[in-house]
Amino acid sequence: MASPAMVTLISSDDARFEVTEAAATMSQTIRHMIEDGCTDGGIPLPNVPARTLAKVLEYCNKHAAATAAESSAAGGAAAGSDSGSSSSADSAGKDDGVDLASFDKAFVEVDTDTLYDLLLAANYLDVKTLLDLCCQKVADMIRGKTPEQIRQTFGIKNDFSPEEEEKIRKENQWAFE
Amino acid sequence: MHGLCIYMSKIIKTMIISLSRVCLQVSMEKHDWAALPRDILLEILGRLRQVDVLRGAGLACEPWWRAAVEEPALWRTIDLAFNEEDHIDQQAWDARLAMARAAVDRSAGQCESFHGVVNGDLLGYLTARQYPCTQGAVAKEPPLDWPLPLFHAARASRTVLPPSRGARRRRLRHRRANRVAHAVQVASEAEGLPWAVTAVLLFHGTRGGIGKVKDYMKACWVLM
Repeated sequence: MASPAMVTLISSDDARFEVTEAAATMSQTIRHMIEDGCTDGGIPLPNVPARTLAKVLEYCNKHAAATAAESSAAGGAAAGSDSGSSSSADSAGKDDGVDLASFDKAFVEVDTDTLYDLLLAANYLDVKTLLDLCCQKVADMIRGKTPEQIRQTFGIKNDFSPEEEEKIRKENQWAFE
Repeated sequence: MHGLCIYMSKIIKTMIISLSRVCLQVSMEKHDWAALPRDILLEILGRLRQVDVLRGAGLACEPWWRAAVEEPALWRTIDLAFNEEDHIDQQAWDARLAMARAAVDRSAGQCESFHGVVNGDLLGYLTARQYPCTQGAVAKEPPLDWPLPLFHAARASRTVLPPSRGARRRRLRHRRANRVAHAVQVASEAEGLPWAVTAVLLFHGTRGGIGKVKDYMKACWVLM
């Protein structure tokens, strides 16, 4: 088996990350850069610092590996070759489904600063599933909370002027009951 | 030629990197949730129950308020029905009616479906707010994929009925709601309502029989 194609990513603070092309191209932004042939000497990711990029790549590596395992399991089953190895690959594929869900859940159990960085990075790098995961996490953190509780959770300042607040309160009385 | 390409791409990379340093210091170092880019914020708000947008997230700060008020896309499908966790009393009931008005305002005429509690006033309001942007021709030929109003007895009793005392009274209301629901369904199918009224028309404090509902639906239709 040929060794997988690798690409080098360069974070905003000049840290270099060597990853498989499969993991890197989970990012549509990077996929387009590779397609355009801009990989010479590494792909610069000017909006993503090393700390965040490492975290994003942890996600991409895990998911790319799971996808690869799944497709090889499916390939093995289709070919019907060597019953021993295909059944083990099959069970690995099944485990990955459960595994991946718990990985995702644990992955976003982070402080709000990290979550914020992940949101921006996933958006910039265009990793759809990661963006979905992070948005869902934030939504879960908001659900059922009052405005004040939301401000506390995310460190948001109440920036309404007294006049604005009065106006909103008047127009949306139902929200304050 | 090839050498020039490489040279150019290196220059561009350097430019991007130095430019990004500036952006980075602004955006990454402080984590200002109020300044979250609008598209990401909308992704998040879109995942919330609309009740939580109306009385929670949309009131946290000015940018979030603006996002919640200025984006009709968030309100294209309005769902303000009670769910199992909600405590239902008269106050909650009235609040939902008021929220529905706010939600319809925010949809800026783009509302495609509504699910929630209504009374006669609200339905009139929904209709009045809706039709200015609904061309007559469109109204008469609703797209095939518009969902037909769907009602379930269990759902009706939970989401639609105002609170009442006593099981017998509840059963009665339940039965009446089903009748009304059925009437709305029949009427909206017959009249080809221009958008799915997935709500049960319940005339608060009056005896709204089937005939009355049909008349009302017809009145709405004439308005359109």
